[in-house]
Amino acid sequence: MSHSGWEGMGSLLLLARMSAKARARHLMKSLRQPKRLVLLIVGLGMVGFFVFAQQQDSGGNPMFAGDKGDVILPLFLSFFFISTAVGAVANGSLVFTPPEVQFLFPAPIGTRALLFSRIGSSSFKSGTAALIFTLFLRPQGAPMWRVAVGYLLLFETLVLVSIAVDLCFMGKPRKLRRRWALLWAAVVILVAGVTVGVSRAQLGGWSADVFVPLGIVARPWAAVLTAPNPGLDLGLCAVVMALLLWRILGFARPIREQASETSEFVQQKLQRMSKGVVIPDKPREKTSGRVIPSLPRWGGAGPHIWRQFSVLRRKGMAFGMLIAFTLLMGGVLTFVGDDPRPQVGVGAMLGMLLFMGPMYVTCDFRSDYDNLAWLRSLPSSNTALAAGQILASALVLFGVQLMLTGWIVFAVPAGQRLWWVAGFLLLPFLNVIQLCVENGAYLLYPFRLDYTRGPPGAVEMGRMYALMLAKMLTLAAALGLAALPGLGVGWFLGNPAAGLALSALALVLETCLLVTIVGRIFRRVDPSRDLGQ
Amino acid sequence: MIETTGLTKVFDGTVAVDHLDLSVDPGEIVGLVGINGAGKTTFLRMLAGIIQPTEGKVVIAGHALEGDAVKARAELAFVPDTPMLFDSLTVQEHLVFVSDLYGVTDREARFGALLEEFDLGERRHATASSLSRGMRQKLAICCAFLHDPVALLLDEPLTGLDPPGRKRMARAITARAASGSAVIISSHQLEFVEKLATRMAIVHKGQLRLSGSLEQLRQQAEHDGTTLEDVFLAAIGSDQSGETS
Repeated sequence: MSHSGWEGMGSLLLLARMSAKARARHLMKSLRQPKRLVLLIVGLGMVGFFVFAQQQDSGGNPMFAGDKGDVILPLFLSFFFISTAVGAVANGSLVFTPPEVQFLFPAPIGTRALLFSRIGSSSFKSGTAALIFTLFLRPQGAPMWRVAVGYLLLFETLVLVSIAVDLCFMGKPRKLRRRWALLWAAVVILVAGVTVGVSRAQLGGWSADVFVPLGIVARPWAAVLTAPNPGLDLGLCAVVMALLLWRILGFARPIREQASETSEFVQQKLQRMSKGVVIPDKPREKTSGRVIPSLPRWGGAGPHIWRQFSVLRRKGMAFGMLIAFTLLMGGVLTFVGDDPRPQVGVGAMLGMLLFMGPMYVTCDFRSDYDNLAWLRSLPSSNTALAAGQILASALVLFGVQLMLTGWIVFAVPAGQRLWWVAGFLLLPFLNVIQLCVENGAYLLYPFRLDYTRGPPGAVEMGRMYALMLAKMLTLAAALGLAALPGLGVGWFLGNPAAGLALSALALVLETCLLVTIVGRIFRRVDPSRDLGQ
Repeated sequence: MIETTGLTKVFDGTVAVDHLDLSVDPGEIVGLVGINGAGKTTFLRMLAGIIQPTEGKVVIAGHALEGDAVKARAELAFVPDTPMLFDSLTVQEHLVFVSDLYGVTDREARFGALLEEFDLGERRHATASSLSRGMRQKLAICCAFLHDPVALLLDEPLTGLDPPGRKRMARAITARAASGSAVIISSHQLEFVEKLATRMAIVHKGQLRLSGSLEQLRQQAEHDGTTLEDVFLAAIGSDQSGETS
């Protein structure tokens, strides 16, 4: 009996239709919660604002402006192609959800039908990604609708590339695939390095033109986004996509074993991300057995700080990335920026650590998604527990801030030194205030970015904007309220030192109040209702 | 030791636990049985302070959970049906964390004894993420037993345990009760409950339907069945009996 490979396609289409209906139902049901509805309105409002701003300003993103845009855009898109291919080699791309693996894999469904359903499910994500890219990364002067089509084509091609690459490596052990991925990445870095070297040797300096050959792989897609008459490039993109599709649907070998392994691997990663961690480290299995010394109990706060530090020493990837990004940005601004002074670089690094740091250093309630219910049964007061959780993140963040930027105190002229010291003394409070807002929001709105369901939607975007706004407003209010009595007393007594002391005391009290509020919010959370625990 | 008065929990208009009164004395093991959705887990979670009762009062070792929460929680231990552990901490670090939190002093001796009792000694330095389902359950139980709780709340404690593990668990629970702990076990394993519990409490639709020894349950249910299962099925009514199989 011959098999076409399309067996069961009808059932897959039915499943897709029912899933779409269920997703819509889920969204409508979730919007009955006022907080979700508010966040949806905020999210849609922000998207509307961006669309409106884009229409008012035909300039688009200045990153892709003028002659340099002709080089940067293809390079930028090539980066996507290369990273997609390397990722597909290393981790695979045929990812199915656990229920799909359970129900579809043992069922009489053909390989082609399975592959087609996988491409179809990715198209939904491509559409969302294309919309976001169109809003934020529109090349200058290009009409919005064409940019949207261009990005949609790009992301659809990336889906096809990743699946085709994964099929080419089908059946290869994970270790071997990783080795191949490393080899690919090394070749790209080598080519880029040689190009830069040749550029410097021949031109005696930098020239973006030498990167043109590197960007050639993505040139047709870049042209669809930018060229005034992209007919030929559009055709070229379509031909490449058709060839990839033909290669994928012509694949004859079994895919289920490898696909189920990849699905499990990726699902575990997504689950870790869904718990609110920015960079999903895989927990280590073996340890040296060394235990860091216990801290005093401090009403129950000490053991929580100790626990978070113990976890952090095994999950440092997010932490390492924060340090790497900060150093890179500080280094660039210090040594090759328009104003190459260490103060500029350090100021930028501090700004980044202050505003981005609390998102990356999550040694607090945000890393305890699975254990919030257990934490509620432990003998710590709400305030002590919140203090323990938040102080762990705040201490780590302050340590990083001091380590990366503290040296500036010794590098600046004596007249500036006092200002920098005062700034550093303020940092722990600013860290705690921001972490209080992050944790409070996490506990008040304990839904996650559920990557296993699909890409983040307007509700999630609304949540992000609302959180950023709340952080800024709280910081401004806390600093303003602390400064006011100090200024008043300082002026009234004619003694600035007394005013400063009063402001410092007010800031300490405000910080303690915020920690207490987070503790109360934690007590209010109902794990069975809010978290499904 | 454990006392609940009029304990009630309502979720969006659905009554999960309905004015449940229960008192457990030191040394007593109460087996909480009921069909799925009867309200057993919600009841235990309210006792553990995880979810707030809509109405009613919980007193643990003389401390009201509402007013004197930290002292009440210091006297209890709760083992949920799905073990809640910190994936990146090792077995030993879990025990260090719990002992610091509850102020356990002779911790090294206790660690050794507990790890040996639950056969976890060789996995002392393994992270929780590398443990099997049964081992995670054993670790959760070790953490619960570490500070000699006055009130012990166990929700489906046998889940994931192998036969030797079950035997150890039964022995450990009996020993804790003998040393004065008040124990509540919720389980669908009626034979296990019948063997271990000094008193059974049948919960149905959030209410305490019957309570007492097996003999007392027979009388209350007016049923002469020989096992707890027979009496339980009679107590909840024949229309529900299919759900327990």
